[in-house]
Amino acid sequence: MWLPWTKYRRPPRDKVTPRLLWHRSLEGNLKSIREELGHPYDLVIREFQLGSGQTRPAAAAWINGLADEAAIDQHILRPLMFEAGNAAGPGELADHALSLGGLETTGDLRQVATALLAGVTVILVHGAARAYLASTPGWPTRALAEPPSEVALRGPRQGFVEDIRVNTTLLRRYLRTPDLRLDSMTIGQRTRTPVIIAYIAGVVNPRIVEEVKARLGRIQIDGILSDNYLEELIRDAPYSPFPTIGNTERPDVVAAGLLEGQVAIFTDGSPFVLRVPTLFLQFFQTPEDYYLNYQVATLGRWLRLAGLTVALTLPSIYVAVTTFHPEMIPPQLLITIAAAREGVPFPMVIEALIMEFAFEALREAGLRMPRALGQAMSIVGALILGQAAIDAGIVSAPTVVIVAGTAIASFLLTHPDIVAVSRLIRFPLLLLAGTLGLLGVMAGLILMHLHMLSLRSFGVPYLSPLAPLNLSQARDTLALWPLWSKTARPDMFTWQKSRRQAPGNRPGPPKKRRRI
Amino acid sequence: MPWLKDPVRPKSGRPKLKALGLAVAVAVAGLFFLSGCWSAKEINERVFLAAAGVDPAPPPERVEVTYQLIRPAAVTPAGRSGRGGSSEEKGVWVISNTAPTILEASRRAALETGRKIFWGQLQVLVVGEEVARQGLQPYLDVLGRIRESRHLAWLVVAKGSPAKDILKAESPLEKIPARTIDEQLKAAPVSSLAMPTTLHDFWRTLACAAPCGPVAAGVELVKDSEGKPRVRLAGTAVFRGDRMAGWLDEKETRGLLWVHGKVKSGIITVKLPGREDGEVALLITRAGVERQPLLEKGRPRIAIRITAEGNLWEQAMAENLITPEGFTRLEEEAARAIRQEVLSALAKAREYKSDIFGFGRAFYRHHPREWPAMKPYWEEEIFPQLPVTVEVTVRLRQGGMLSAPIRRR
Repeated sequence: MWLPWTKYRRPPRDKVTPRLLWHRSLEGNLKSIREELGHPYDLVIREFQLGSGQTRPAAAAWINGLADEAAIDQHILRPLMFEAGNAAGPGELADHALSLGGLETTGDLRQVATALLAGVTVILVHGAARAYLASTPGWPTRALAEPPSEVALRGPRQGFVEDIRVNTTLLRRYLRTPDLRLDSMTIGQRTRTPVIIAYIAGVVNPRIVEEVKARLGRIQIDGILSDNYLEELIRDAPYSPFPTIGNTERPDVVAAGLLEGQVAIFTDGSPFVLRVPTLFLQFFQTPEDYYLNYQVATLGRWLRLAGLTVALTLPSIYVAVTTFHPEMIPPQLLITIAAAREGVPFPMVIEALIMEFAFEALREAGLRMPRALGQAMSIVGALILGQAAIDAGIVSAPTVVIVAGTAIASFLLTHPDIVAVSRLIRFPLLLLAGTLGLLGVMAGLILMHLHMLSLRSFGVPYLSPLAPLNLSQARDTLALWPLWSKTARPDMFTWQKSRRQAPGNRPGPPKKRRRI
Repeated sequence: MPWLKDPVRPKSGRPKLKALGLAVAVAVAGLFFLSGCWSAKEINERVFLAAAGVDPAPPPERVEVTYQLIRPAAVTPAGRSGRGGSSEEKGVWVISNTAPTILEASRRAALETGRKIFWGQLQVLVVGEEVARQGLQPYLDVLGRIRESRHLAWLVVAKGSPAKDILKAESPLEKIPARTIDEQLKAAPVSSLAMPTTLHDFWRTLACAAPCGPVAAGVELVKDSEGKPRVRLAGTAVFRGDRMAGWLDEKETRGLLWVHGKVKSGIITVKLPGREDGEVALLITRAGVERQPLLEKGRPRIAIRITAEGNLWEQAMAENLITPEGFTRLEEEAARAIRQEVLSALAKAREYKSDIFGFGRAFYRHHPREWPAMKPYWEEEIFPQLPVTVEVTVRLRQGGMLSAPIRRR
C-alpha cells in the first residue's frame, strides 16, 4: 500500500509484445524455446517422426520433473509416433491423435515458456507456426495427512497440502454445489504464484469478494512464497498485533466458513488457506467445536477465553497487587508470599520479568531446536530454572507458580496468532503494573480494548457480534447451541438475513401417536 | 515488471509526524523510568500488622499503641519456603510505643522495625477498657481516614486488662494470636454468646440517625491449665455514644442477639417445671424476629415477636420427652428462657441508658413525622421507660437420632 501523501507514482505496466516466433522449421522453434528458457539442464526435448512411415519431424518438450512422463509416453508420444494417420495434418492432431483432456494451442513463445514451467508438455510439428500445450502435470506432492496444527479427535483427518490443485479438490469434495466459485489470479512477477479465491455465490456478500479481489489485484511484488505474504499485503491493520485474517489447514473448516459467507484464499505452495473476514472470537473456535457435543464445546470455548484473560493479565495483576495493594490479598496468602520473598534481591517486577523471559526463551527454543536436544532442554528448564533458582534465593516460589500458571493458560490458546497476541501484550502490561499498579494495568487493558474496537476485518467490526452488540449472534458465539436451533445463518459476513436450515429439525418422538 | 528495477523509494512520512512519533515514544519510555514506581513498595519492605492495641498514656503522650507484627518466615511451615521457621519461633513480634497520636506512633515505630507498618491487613483492633470509657472517637478517627485501613477489622474491648496484655498473650493453635481472636469471633454463632463487631459496624451504629448504642465484643485473659495467659471472648461492651457504659454478660449478649435477629445457633438449657434434675439441651436451628414500633395515643411502645426452631439434642433424664405433650412443655420452657434473656439484656441497656437494640431507629423509620419530637428525650427519658412486650414462640422439630432415651426396659 502506498501512503497517500507520497508522490510516488506507479510506473506504467510494460506493454506485452507477444513474440510470435515461429519459424516454419522445427529446428528454429526448438532453438527459440531453448533460448527463451536459457538452456536449462532439465528441459527435455524428444524429437520424432509423426506417424508410422511418415517423415514429418515433430518434437515434444517438457521440463523433467514437472511433467508426468508416463502420461507423456502413453498419450502423446505413442499416438503421435504410431497412430497418427497419414492424412493427419498439423491442425487435426488434436482431433485424432492426442488423447489428453487439457489441450490448447498457441503461437506465443512467452506463453509456451510459462506453460513449460507449469508442467505442460509442448508439442511442435515441422511446418506449423503453432504449438500444442498438453497439460501433463506430474510433480511430486506430499501425501494427505492430518494437519499437526489443528488436530481433532473426532472429525475428518485430512489437511491441505502444498499443491493448490489438490487443495481446491479437497474443498470441492465438501461443497458439491455449482455455486462454489473458484476465481483464479496469478500474483508475483517472478514466482507467478497461482492464487484462488473461493466463495459460494448466493451466500457470500459480493462486496467482500470485490474487496478481496481489489486488494489482491493491487499487489505488485516479485514473489509470493506463502500465504503469510498475502496476509501481510492485504491486512486491514498492518501495524496491529491482532490478526484480522484467519488461516486454517483443514478443508472442513474452510467449507464451514464459506457456508457462513466467508471468502477463502488459496495460495499455491502453502497448506494454509486464508479466511476473510475473520473476527476476534473466531480465533477461539476449534474445528472440534462443531464435531463434539455442544455443551462440552461451550465449556472448551469458555476455557480458552479464560485462558487468554489469565495469560494476558495474571503476572501483571500479581505484581500490581503485591507491590501496590497488599491489602487485597487474603492474609494467609500474603504471609506465604511475604515469607517466600524474604531475602529475594530483586523487586517484584524484575523477578516476574526474569521468569517470564526464561519461560519465553524455553518456549522459543523448544520450537526451533532439534528434537534430540529437547530432553536436555526440559531438564535445564525444570531443574535449574525452577528448583535451583528458588533454592538459591534469586526468585521466589510464588512467582514461579504465577509464571507457570500463565504458561498453562496460554497452552489453552490453540491458535498461534492469539498466542502471539498474549505474549506481545503481556510484557507492556507487566511494565505498567510495575510502575503504576492496578491503575496501569487497567489503563493498558482499556487501551487494548479501544484498539480492538477500532479494528475491522474486510468491513466487519472486529469485535462483532459483541461490539456492536448483536444479541442473537453473540449468543451463538459465546456459547454453542444444538445444530437444530440455529436456523438463521449469521449475518455478520453476509450482511443480510438468510436461512441455513428449516425450523423443526429438532429430533424427538412424533407429536401424535400413529395408529398401527 | 519495470517496477522491480525502480530505485528503492526513499522512506516516506512527514518529518513533523516523525518527530511527533519520536516524542511520544520518549514520553512513554519516560513513564517507566521517571515515575519512580509511584507509591510502590515491595512486600519485603513492609511489615504487616495483625492486631493493634490502644491504651492511654500519661501526658504529653496520649496513647500507647501496641503492635502485633507478623514474621512471615516464622509463620510459614518449615520446608515450604526453604528457609522456613522452626516450630519454636514466635510467629509475631509484639512491640509498643507512645505518642500523642496513633499515626505518629505508627510512623515512629519504624525507628524500631526498620520497615513501614502496613495497616491494610489489620485483623483485630483491641482497645483498652480505660480508653473505651474515655470515648473511642479520638482513637478511631485515623482508621477512618488512612487509605490502608481495613474497616472490616474486628473491634474488641479488653476487659480487666490493658490491650497490650491481650496482644502479648500467645495462642497454642495459631502462630499469629490475632488470628485466634478472629476465629473465636467467627465461631461465635455456634453458641451465639458473643456479638462480633467490626470497625465498620461500630461506626455505622455510632452515626445512625437515632441515638443508637454501639456495642463491641469483649475479650479477657484467662489462665489455661499450664498457667499461661490465654485470650477468651467475654460478653459485650455497651457504649453510650462513643463512651463505654458497661458490660453485658454472655446470656445478656444472646438476649441482644435475639432482638437483632442474629441468633444463628446455640443451646438453650431448660428444666421442666417441678423437677430439680433433668436439664434438657435444645439446639436452636433457626430464629427470626419481628419488631413493631407502635404509637398509641402518642405513647411509644415496642412489640417484639421472636420465633425460634430447635431440636432436642440432650436430656439428663430417662423420661421420654418426644411426645406431643413433652414437646409442648419444652417449648413453653424454652420460650420462657429466651424471654428471660431478652428482658435481662433490656434491663442492662436501660441501666446504661444506651439503645443497643436500635429501637429509636425503628421509630425513626416507621414514624418519621413523630420522631423529631421524641429524639431529644430518647436516650435519657423515653428509652429507659419504653414499654416493651416480648412474645416468644418456640417450635421443636425432632429429638435427634433417638426416638426415645436409651434405657433399661
